[in-house]
Amino acid sequence: MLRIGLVLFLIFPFLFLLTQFQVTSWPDMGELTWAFKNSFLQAALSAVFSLLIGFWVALGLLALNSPRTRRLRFVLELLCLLPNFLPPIFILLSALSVIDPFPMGIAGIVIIHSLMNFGLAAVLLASTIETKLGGIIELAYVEGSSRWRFLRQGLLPMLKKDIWLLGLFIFVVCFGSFAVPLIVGGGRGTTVEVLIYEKIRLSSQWGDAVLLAFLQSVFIFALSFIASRGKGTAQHRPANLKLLGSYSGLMVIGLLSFVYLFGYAQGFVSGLAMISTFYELQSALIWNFLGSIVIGLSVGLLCYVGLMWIAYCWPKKWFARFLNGYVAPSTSLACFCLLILGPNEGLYPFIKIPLALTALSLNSLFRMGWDSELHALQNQMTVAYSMGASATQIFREILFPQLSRRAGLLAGIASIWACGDFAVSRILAHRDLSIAMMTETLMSGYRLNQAIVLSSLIVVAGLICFLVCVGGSRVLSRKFAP
Amino acid sequence: MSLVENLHRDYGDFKLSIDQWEILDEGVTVLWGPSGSGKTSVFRILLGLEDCPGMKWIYQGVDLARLKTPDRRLGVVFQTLDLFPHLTAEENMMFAARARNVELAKARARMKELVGTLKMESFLQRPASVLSGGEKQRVAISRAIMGEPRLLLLDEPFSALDQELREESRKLVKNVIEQEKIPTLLVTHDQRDVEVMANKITTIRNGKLVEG
Repeated sequence: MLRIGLVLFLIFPFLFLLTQFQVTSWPDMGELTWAFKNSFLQAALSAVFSLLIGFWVALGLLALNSPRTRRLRFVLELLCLLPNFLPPIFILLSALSVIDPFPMGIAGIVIIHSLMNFGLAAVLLASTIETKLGGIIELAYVEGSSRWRFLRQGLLPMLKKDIWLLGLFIFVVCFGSFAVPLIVGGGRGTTVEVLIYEKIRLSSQWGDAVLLAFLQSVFIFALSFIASRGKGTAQHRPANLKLLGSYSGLMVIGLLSFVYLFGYAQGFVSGLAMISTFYELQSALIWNFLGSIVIGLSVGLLCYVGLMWIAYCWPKKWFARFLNGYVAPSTSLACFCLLILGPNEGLYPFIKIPLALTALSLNSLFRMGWDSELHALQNQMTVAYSMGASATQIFREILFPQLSRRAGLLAGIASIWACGDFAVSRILAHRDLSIAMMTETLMSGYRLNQAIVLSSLIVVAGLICFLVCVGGSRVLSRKFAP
Repeated sequence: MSLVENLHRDYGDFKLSIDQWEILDEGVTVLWGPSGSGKTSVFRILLGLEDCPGMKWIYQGVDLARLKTPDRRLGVVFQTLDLFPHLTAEENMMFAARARNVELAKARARMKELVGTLKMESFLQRPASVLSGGEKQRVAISRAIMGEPRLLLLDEPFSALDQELREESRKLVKNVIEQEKIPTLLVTHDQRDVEVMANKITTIRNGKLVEG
């Protein structure tokens, strides 16, 4: 029952809308093809650029594989991953501040997506190269192979499948992206996700929106299914990677980090000069800061419960398959589904926004390591099950104590995303309820530097929520230790 | 004797085909075979972790194959031992007793016995994550016995230990099995395990029993 309940919660937007709205006519094919073409093009280019830059950066990270440089590498990896974990609003603000004039449309979307994903691609590629090819690289180095020859005849053919799968993963993420195309897509870069938003928000064509969301979901589902296949584990042993390591990759990290860190810092300093303009907003600032905290903490709590719910229901093949194949519903569709369900005034947005953000984040959190955590505990679960332990005993004594901290960490990340969300909140609330929404309002009014100053409060709110989630999960894990 | 019948399963590239196989009611039955012969598949099927439609396993008048895994009341030690790392050695053992609803006083008495026999006093309160290989192995055996199983199933339980520890462990385990009088099925590819532990040897090759 619990499993079915979770599955229903996750597919609820699809079910609800399909029962509410009948597709009566086929939408405008020209518009549909155009939006699909834009989505495809921006996702494909984002994946290619992320992989190219990521590969170069990975060579830089591989140059730091001695015990002496391990700490530096850790810091650089964090720097690489930061744009991927921060809410998109930060990267948007930084890039818009540095690149002036910013190319709106497909090019703009590709720049932001590449900036967000290059680091993840780099860290994953570096780790794959080390674990799968460490020994071979060492051997090629000893036998005198040149770097170029090894790259061409050794590394690329051997990692072809991994690179394809990573590219496909980035493609899928970018294809379903909503916040970035909404802000920098402009009129020329309307993607399917934004078109769904416009169909509902501007022209109330629910039938078209449902059909578009269905087509997009089928497409993403098919790609996700391919991307989730072919995962393999490899043993890691320390190896000398001098043949591949290249310090030029480190310069790329420096350059790209400069774009988003310097852009942000520069905008912040300029914005501080205009701090007096915030005085009139004092009251709104306080309430919206509290709003951010409430949304962040609610999402953190719901995600923590959701992850534990998955853990309780875990050892079932069909359930694991469902979660691996599940594609989060279109952002705008999920939001509009909640929008038409019940009232939207008063405190209701504070219930609906966290619910929508949880439904949209849970799958990402599952794929961000929760699945591997559960797989790692599979043997312990099997032993406990064979010994006759009930599902409740296994959860209470085996899973919960070992998973609580990790769940807290993931819930904390989700709470940071929630604090930085403006897209979901914009659909579900009619006025600014959080700092991120205020920031987006300023950004839309081209008051970029003020928006950057204001966004620093998102960092504060996000940090508070993150610490509460992480700390809370530790307390719970200690309190309920067997 | 317990009797396993119709253990047939097709894995596509590999087939298990066992028409009949007798497992001793007392002492240790060893299923011996080289890597890839199907030992672990047989082990998992007997535990109920993999389906095997049509199989029968009659033990003291009960067809264990018709029962769900937890209801088969089997004690198990996998090759990887799989202790719960966040629990102490004692908590690991008591987990098994609670899982089978063994009375607390009875469980404590049994644990005391096992601790003495397997010489575990010095590390009983230590978390499993910091125990040595030999210590982990003893905790895993005790944990499997704590739930008062019908049968004990051991899958290569000594393979993770070094040569010297293996010899000592075999003797300790043999000793505890004899003392507790639990019928045991040991799956192994190690000839030395067979020499020290076996009361009956069954050999498996390419998914078929070649001598019984």
